[in-house]
Amino acid sequence: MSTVQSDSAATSSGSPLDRIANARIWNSRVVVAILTLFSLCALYFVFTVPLENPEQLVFAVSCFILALLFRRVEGRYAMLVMIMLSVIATGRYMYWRLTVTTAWASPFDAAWGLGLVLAEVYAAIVLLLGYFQTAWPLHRKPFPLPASRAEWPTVDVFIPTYNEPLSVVKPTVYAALAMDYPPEKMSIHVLDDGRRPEFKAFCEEVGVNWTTRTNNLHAKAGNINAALKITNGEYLAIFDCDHIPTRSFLQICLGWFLHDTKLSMLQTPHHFFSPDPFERNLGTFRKVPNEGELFYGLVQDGNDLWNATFFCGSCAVLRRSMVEEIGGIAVETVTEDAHTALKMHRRGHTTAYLAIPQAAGLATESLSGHIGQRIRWARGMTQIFRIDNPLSGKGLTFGQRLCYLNAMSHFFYGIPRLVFLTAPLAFLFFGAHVIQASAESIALFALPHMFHANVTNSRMQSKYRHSFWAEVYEAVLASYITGPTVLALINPRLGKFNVTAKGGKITETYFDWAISRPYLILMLLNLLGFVLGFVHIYNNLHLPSEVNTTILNLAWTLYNMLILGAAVAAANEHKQVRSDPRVAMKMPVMLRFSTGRTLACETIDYSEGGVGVALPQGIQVPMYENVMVSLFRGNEEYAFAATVSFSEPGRAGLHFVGMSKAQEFDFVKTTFSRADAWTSWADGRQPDAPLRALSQVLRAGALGISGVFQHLYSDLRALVRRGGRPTEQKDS
Amino acid sequence: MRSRDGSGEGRPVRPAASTRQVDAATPDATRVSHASRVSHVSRLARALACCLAAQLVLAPFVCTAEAAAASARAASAPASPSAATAPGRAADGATAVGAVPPPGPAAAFNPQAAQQPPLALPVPALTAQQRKLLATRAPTTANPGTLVPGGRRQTLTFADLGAQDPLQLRGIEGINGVPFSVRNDEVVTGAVLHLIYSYSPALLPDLSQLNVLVNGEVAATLPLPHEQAGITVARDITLDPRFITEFNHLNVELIGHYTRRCEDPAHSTLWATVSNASSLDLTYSSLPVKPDLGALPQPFFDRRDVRRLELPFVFASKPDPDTLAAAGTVASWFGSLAGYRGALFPAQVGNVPLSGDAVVFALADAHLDDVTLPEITGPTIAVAARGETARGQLLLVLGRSSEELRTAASALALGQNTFSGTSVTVGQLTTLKPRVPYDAPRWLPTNRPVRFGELAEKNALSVTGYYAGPITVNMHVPPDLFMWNTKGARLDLRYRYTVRPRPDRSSMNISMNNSFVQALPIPAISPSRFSLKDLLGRFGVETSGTGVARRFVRVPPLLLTPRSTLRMHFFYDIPNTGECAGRLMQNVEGAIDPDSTIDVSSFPHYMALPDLAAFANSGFPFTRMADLSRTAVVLPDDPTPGDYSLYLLAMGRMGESTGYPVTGVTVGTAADVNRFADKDLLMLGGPGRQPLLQSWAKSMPFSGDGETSTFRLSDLAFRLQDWWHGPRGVERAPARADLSLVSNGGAALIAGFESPLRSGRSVVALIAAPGEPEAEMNAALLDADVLPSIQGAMNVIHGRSVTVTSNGEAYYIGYLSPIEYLRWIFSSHPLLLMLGGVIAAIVIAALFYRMLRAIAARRLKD
Repeated sequence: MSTVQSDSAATSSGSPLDRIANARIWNSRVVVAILTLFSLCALYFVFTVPLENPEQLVFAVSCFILALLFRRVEGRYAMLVMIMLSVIATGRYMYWRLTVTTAWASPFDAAWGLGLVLAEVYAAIVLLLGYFQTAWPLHRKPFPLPASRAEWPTVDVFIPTYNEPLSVVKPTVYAALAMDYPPEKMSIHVLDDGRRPEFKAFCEEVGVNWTTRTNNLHAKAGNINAALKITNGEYLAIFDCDHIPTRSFLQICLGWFLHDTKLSMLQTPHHFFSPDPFERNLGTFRKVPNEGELFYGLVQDGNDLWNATFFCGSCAVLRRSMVEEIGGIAVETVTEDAHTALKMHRRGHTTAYLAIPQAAGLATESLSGHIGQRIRWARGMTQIFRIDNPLSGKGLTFGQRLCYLNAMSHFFYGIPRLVFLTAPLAFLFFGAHVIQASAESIALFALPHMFHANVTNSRMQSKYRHSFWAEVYEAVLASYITGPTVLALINPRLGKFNVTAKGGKITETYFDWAISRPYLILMLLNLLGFVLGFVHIYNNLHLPSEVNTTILNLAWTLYNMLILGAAVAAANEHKQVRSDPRVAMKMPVMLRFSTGRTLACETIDYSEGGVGVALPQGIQVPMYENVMVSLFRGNEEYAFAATVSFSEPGRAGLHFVGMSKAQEFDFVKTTFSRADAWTSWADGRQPDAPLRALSQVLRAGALGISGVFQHLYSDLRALVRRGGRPTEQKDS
Repeated sequence: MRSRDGSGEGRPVRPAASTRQVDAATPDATRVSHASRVSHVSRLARALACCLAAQLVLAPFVCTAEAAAASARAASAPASPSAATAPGRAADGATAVGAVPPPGPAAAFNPQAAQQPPLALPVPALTAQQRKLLATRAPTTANPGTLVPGGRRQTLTFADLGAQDPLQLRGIEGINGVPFSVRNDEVVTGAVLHLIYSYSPALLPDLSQLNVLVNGEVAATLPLPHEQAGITVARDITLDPRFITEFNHLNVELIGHYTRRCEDPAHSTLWATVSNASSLDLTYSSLPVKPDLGALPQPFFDRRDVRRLELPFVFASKPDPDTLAAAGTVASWFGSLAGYRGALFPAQVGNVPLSGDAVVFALADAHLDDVTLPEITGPTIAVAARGETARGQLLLVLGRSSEELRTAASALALGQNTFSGTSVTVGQLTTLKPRVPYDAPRWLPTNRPVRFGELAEKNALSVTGYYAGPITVNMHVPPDLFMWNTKGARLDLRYRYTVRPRPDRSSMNISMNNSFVQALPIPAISPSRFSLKDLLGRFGVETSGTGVARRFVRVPPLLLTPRSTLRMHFFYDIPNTGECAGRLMQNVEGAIDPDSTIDVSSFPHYMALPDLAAFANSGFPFTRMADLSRTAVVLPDDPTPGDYSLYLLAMGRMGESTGYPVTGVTVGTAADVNRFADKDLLMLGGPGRQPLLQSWAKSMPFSGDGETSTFRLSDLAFRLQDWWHGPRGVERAPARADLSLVSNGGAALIAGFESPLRSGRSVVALIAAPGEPEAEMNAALLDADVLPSIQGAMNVIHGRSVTVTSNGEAYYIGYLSPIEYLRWIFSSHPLLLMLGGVIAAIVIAALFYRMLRAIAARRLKD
């Protein structure tokens, strides 16, 4: 089932529901006013009317059944109804929570209770902002460039780099060169802040500009700004040095700029063809959408409706005049990209988002690196929140303010997530009655709120984020981003910038004890609380209310433990088998063996070092045999020398040997920079089903917990044997 | 006055004899125990007679009591040779104080036996039945007890005097008692306390004793012999009438010791219990009282008299509606005065009762035997003494027309203090400001927070000592306060307490109608310890050691009933001084500031009727207007004096509830009923006499003709209505009662239903056949133990039992804001709420859909 409809919904009558939305009565202002008034009154009552437990059960169950029925109806209208039902459940819960349950018996209870209430308020606000932000993904289509190439604008392609090895930057430069655009209208600049001679040599060899500057002020933003001064293209396309663009990038992206003269920036998704630490360590690569997909698949597309898409630092095209108008890329914060977009929005310029992957790169290879990157984002967003708050200041529309607010407040999840992970412990350890209500009431009010949010989000985010995975991602990051965000909130200058390292290789499976320390502590606390809970039940068997409360807290603790287990599992760094990640892709390939025999077959995958091919009729090729591999771009054929490095009936792995720079270029042209390289990335992936997602998360959690004990055992043994330096090789 | 004395002089001995006979015949005359006892009684009677004689002979009226006492002393000395050596001391050491015989010997109390065995026997104190009888027995003013020359003699139990439970005496100096008072037109000439008590076997007989205190003076000292410890015993104690004044306190004090060595003053074995079946037998001498309007409401009502008021109302001729309204006004005035005692108004037409006080309503041209009416020139109020034999006064309410009667009655009820002399003609009755709903003086105002100072005497708001009882504040809450989904009435409590020397379990417990509400701790430190004032205290400004605290307490809605008693009980933890620490210092106090408030002003008036409990407790809905200006009483055709009595009783109840006379009530019959469409109706009468019972049969919660088929249970409209009000609406039980119950004379019915004339108006029908059931109705409406069982829409009253047979068809009166109403309705209809929510979701989603689609189209067109 697809939650996304074509934009022609305006004319299609679709489901009976859509007919309601398209009915003629909506054209009458009087009717609209009356219905609005009625609805607002109804919402007031639905939020505030107190119900006894049985009535609340009836209300909640019937609402939820309705939501499940609407879930079966296709179309955006049904989705909006589901959002409203979720808003109702949440509003009702929050009203009850804030008015009924916030009287505490002791200051101790009140301290815990207030923390939990604030966390819940935060979660509810973020939920509602999320609905607002993603209610209507715009699904922008590429706008064609004029037929006459003479009318195409001039473009500077910037590839900023600082300390990445040349091998990482090379494919990007090749792919930039391979872009289909008149060469006279496109100039490629490698902005080398590392001032490395081998870069200069390489750039001169392949014929791109190598620029550098005398200082490294303001890092990437300063690097780009320095380059802006010495270039003059009408537009600039920015690619991180490891983001390999497809050949169609400029043609697809530039059309909108010519159509919309106010457009200042067009962003495309960041696509990663290597598994990120979560995907690798949890074994979910290409099965479960990764952490970034929600943002690039849905959030930015939703932002586009409100003209609030922001710049993500790479894979984007900007209009030079407008960037210069705001004084270049923003340098005040560590997330220069989002701040740049905010500044342009304040000037009344628009931005756009094209949800078509037109560039791809390597994901951060280790969890610590991943966390470091998220810390930077969280810190940067908090800095913007402090020094250029989107709620205040001029030039923004209401929708833009809310979208920016959500983008920033999203990163404040650290403390709330930690509160959720520890709240039941207040009761299990200290007997603190954090919520002044019976367990039954809490369940009857809170569960509808959570169920509705889950079902609705599952529908909206089906393709981009599976249910419950957000909890895992947040649990992993919470303990790390809390400090930087709080510091940045207090003073935007606090905390330091750290660069995301890429292109490394994890050579050995190991458990990152250092990074997982917070989860392990939380896990131990939860485990202790879990045991204490059973003791408490045993001691209070005669008090049903106490038993119910304990069971509720135990269930919560169990859930927390499994989420933490999944977080722990994510820290269990799996060995990276190959230095170059493989990209699954079917394309025609011709093998020419030394015997002269040729074989036309299809690739299974490719990497920078070689290709995997599927051989017809179970053919097996001998190992280490030399073959010539021909790949095609259109009608052109490109041949590479390779040896068979892996062989089994019907499959062979071919490793390229002795590639020249031209061949490397050709290889990128025929693989990474294919226009359709990434568009079918999610094919074959199952859409979200909350229960399946839950079982996946829980399984990951259970495996994570057992993994901890295995590693504890083996590392302790290694510690004893090697005399105390078990983790020397894992710092990356 | 002289003539009265003379008549008394004529038969000094006979009444003494008759007293004896009466005593012997009275079932509860348990004092007559054995032969010596009999002789003692006769001696006592003779002494009494002598005393009366002496009083008459000596005649100085002013010092009657002293004279009586002196003569009694003179008479008793030779009459009781056994006590000659030590006057006032009985053989077993019991002493009486004053010139009275010593207390009678203690004997085991057996309330069932008229003749007691010579030796004390351990017997159960009182059976449940007797205890019930004790609570329900209600002597009225019409029952003077035993008449004696120049006065009367009457026995009142402690229960009559207000002790609902036995008196508990605890500790080394436990004290407890009852108040009693003496009517203004009487003096006490003799008093015998019939004390029923039991005490701890652990008490040391030579150290322990029971003191009887009258107004703080020791009236008798009773030994506590070990042989009778632990069993209920009874004793007659003659009290010196000199101690007795208008308002009196009779206390019993336990001086208890269980050891000669060190003693824990709070030891649990230090106990004694005085039964509330103990009685006080008082002999009164009447004082001649001159008729004077200035003395009103005396002698018709005297607040010192704890008995139920029974005041006959006499109509010179068959009363018309306005006369009845006038009588109702006067009845409500007396009902209001009588308060908790209750008031009965037996009505008579054409003749005055043989004796006693009465109120007479007469027009100028009326003629009544034995009554000479003054000349009537307008609305007139007069008092007249009755003949010597009739013993009493008449309150005359007179006028040339029945309208003038009403004026006179209103003037009497509203401006009672402005009259003097024996007769006054009311000129112009100043037009009163119309009453507004819920402004009854006795009701808790619902438009503002109410200070406790308005509800209770200031000195009743403080207590002293470790064993102090609760501070009680009584309030009359309008029954129709809509307190759904609220935390209840808000108490702003400011209270002072003795700061505890160290943290302990002391607390002030708040309860409403004996249901616990909250306990506020009494801390060891003053709550304002670190106040600026306190700091200044170190520089010489005086500070008190009393803690002052202010707390806000919510009284849960269910506890706040129409007649509510708020109890605030200071419990001080008794310091564990242990043995040898000597006497416990009663140095702890607690006080509620009169500026504390209770606030019910936030609650709207809205309630489901019929609710006969509201009628029985508060006269609701009639008393919504305190002057009953929106009430019409529908009397039966051809009413009997019994109907009038019931009507007057009901008006008395209204007055008791509101504290305001029913000056606005309308009286009529079934024929006038259409004029009363806008009024709440109080319907009297029984089958065959009240035509409305037939014509309105369909609206009533019972069948008029004995068939239950009149119930339209299948009626869709009613089903819908029931559904709408959901579980909060009252369920409709099929009526099992019908009028045949009444016709057969077996029972009386009280029924409430919505007026068929106009929706939102109420009818309460008091249905009784003439005769016996009327008395049952009276009892039901007056007796504290029957009253609470009146509930629902229809009650069958049979004897002293009430059966609720129907809850009727609910209707609602009062006003709720639409929002509050909808919240209330929705709270019982989750599906309706869900429907509203889903419709809202669909509508808002549609609006957003169209808006977002438009935005998207604009964005993509750019």
